[in-house]
Amino acid sequence: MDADDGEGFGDFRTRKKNIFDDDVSVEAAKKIITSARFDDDDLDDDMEILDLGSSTTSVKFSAAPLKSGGDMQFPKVNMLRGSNTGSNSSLTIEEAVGTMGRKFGSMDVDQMQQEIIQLRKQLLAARKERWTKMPVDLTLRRIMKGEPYSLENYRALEDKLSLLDKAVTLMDGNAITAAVLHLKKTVKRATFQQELMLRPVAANHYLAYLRGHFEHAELIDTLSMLGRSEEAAIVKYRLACSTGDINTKVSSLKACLRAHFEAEPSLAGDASLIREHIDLLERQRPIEDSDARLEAEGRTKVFLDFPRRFALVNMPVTTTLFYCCLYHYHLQENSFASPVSIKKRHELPERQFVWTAVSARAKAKGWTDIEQLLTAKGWFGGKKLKAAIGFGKVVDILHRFQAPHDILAKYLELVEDLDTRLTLAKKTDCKKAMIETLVKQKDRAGVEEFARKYSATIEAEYARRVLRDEAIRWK
Amino acid sequence: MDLHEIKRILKDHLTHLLESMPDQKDLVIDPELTKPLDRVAGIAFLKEHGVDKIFKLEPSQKSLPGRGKRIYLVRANMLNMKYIADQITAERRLGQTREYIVIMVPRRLHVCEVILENEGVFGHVTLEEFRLDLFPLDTDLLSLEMHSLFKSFYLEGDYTHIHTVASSLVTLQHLYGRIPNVYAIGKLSKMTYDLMKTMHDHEEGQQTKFSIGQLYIIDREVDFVTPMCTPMTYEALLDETFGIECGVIELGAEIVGKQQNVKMLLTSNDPIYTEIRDCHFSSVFPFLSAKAKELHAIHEKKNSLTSIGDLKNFVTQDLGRLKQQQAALSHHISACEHIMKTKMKQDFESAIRAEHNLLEGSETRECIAYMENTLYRQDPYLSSLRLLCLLSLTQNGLTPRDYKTLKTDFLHSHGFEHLATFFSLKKLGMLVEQEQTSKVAAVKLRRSQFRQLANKLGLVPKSGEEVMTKNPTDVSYVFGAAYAPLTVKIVEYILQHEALQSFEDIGRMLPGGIHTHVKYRAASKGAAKTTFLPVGQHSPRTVLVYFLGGCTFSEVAALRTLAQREKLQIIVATTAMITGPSLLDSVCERK
Repeated sequence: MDADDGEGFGDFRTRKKNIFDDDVSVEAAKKIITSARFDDDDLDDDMEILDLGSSTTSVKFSAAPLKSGGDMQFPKVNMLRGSNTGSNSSLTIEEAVGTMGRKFGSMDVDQMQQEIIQLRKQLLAARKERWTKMPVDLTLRRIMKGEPYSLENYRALEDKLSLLDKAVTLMDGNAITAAVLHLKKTVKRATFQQELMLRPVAANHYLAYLRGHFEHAELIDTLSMLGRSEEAAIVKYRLACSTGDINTKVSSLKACLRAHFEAEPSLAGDASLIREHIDLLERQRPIEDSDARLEAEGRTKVFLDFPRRFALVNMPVTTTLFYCCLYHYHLQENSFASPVSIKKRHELPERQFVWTAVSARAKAKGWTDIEQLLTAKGWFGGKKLKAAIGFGKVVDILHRFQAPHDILAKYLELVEDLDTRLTLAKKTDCKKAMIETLVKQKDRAGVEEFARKYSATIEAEYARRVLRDEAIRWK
Repeated sequence: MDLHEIKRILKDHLTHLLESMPDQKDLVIDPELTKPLDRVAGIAFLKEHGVDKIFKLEPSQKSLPGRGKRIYLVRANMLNMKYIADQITAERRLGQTREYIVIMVPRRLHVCEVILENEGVFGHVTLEEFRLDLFPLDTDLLSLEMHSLFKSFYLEGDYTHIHTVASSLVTLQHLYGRIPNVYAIGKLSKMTYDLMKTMHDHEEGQQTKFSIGQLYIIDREVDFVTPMCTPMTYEALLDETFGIECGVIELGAEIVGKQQNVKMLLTSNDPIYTEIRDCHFSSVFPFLSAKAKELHAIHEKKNSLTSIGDLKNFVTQDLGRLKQQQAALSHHISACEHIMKTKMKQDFESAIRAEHNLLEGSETRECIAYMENTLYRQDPYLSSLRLLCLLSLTQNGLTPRDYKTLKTDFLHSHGFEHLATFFSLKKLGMLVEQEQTSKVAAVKLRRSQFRQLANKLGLVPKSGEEVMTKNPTDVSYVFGAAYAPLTVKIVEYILQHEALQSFEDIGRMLPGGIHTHVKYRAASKGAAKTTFLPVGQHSPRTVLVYFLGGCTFSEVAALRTLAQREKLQIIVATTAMITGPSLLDSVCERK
């Protein structure tokens, strides 16, 4: 028995032997079983083994293993060995049969003994089979059905690859991952990589495993090896971004830029965006340090008027621009926090700059700043108000930040489309502008309606005056 | 057809698993599974089967108190295994010994076992699996609620979940008979069909009686346009505004004006909801106010009650129903108000105008200018991204110049980290640059020509064409008569041209094509060949539409309309219920 048992073949056997050693009591055996590691194949049998320990008197047990005897169920092999050597443990089936013997005729006993012999043969065969490989298709079917399986017998490279390829054809992802990890574990790196390059689906599964297992370095290496350099670069970039400490983050980003984005000509566009990212962080760092200190000291008016709601570092460009327009609008261009310098560095479109600057200055109630911002020099030194975003949007923004009516009225006048102007005047409740627009539209009925609707206001008086004015030509 | 049979089977399976560990035990559950489990079993059911305390599996909890027996019920993924292993290791180090069962949903995975083995806890746990695949969300709606499938298959090319989908179809066919006619639309659909067939081939005995006549398997990749459109039906809007999870919605205390949040189960059991769920939003409010008046009238009846008999009737019959409906009604009204308020705040009109123009293919420059504005003013990034994707999907990609400008603007306003988001969307084919200059193998150019399909299938109703939004027969009503969901239009087309053997003309325009497997024909000519027999006379007209990669409530509404018009019974199955923003969010880089 011991000869073809292969006792020295590795920890699998040895471990099993420990559980069923003669000097191990049933109680101890139970403990070992519940706490020991099992190979996949054995899991299903845990319960049965426990049952056996607690109900040795039941004769049913000789039948139970019999049914599944041919199915390579290892723990039972060991149980039978117990019976064979006639150990002093109470686990033997012979004993179990013996105690119940009175209730059965000798025919029954004979039959059972025959069954035991047959069973023993089957298990012996099964045990041998355990060490011979199963056809790939059968193993895959077992994986697909969630039955126990083992891949360790596929030792020839051809077998491993055939397992992998058939798993891919079958489209069972679980089997593909199992096969690819088996390959990875059992062949040298160069071979593994070479085979992976030929099998994109298998490669995807290996990559998914690396992602789920947080093996970033290997993930990036494998992607690069597969020629997926953009993805490798993105993974590296994502990793750099997740760094908490700002100094480390900047240096990781620089490293990532050098190693991946600048090395690949097709990623030139992304490389310049990452350079922007680095510059943004390097700009934010000193501003944050200085502003946080000023705010803590509590002597700077603007920080008292508008307490900072968040730290600046890691905020997007637009948010940074708004922040600097709010707190540092008048700084010279050579300063880090200068809005104009931000605009230049990130090549922000005029529309975006105006939009953000008007919003920030409106929040700060810096109406003159807005006027200056929107003032353009004419051809001959003359001054003219001009808004890249259109005055309608300017009014919208000012209204959102509760600008006073005279300021709103000034910009409302500049909205060219009269219908839009009227809608905005109504929305912002600028009554004077409403009347003026209605007059421009020559809409007498509109003015009359206004006079009725707002009869108690000062503007109603203005409306009535307009209605009396004979110089106006109505529609 | 009663879908609740599925629930019974799932419950039996769960009972068996819970009882496999005798006596009282604690249950540690994956947060992702609490809602599905609520719908399938419920707390009372767990308690009945010996569950004492219930914990959520959280990485922050290094060890747990409680009984000496514990069951973990988790989605099969590596991270969950790591958390479990950490807890077991920590507890053992504290000298606590326990019996552990780890139940993986929906199946045991090799990688999970590898993790447990590597962490050294394999010997301390018993592994089981709970095949929670499709479960009913409503009488005509089944879902796997497996949101990870989208990212894992479409973005990472991982086949693991195909098995779950295929085996859910096998289970379904064990219950309702082998479906004779199958239309697999798209690449993943074809793969699912093939795997399903392999699984069937391994079985003995072929069923020939069927209760479901047709199966449409639709790959989300075929139609990314639909989720990118703004929904207009009540249910779809609820999902997008509040998020419907496994048929349950949670309204905040401030919305309903109560002390606590209100949870509502949204199914066809609620008579008011059944009437409004698929309505265009504009007709929901009038309906609710009419209903309110009606309830008021019933309430008034109490003043005119003369006899004791009447009074008794009123109290026993009307009053209870009244109270229930009143509560539901007031919640729906609050939800409506909130939706309107949100829409007003978001410059809804301009957004819709841009969207409609993109679908029609007109005023593109104006749309791009609008998108830039939304970026300058830092509108919620998912709504900007949605329009960007719609632009790309309807125009076969952006011109290199537009791509560069819009990408840069986006990164400026929402963070450079989104560089990775753009990479993912490119890989998915949802937001791409025309004439790819970079040689990335992973980039899939969309072969689908949206414009061509729109013409062929009539996806975009001609302007001026009246679609009655109040009594809809054209499925485009779900998007305010501006667009009919492509997925539903494909189903409609195949239904109407059933006699055709192949749908090559349309299949050519769809990535992955259409694969037809027809075994049963109602018409007499082919009757002799088939061995398939319908269970009832309705069986051939019972249709299962299975969405892979997610389905929106707009599509469900459109399919319900189609079913009514064509006198069919349509059951919708999906890997998860999604909205456009939730789909985008799942592949977005978060900070």
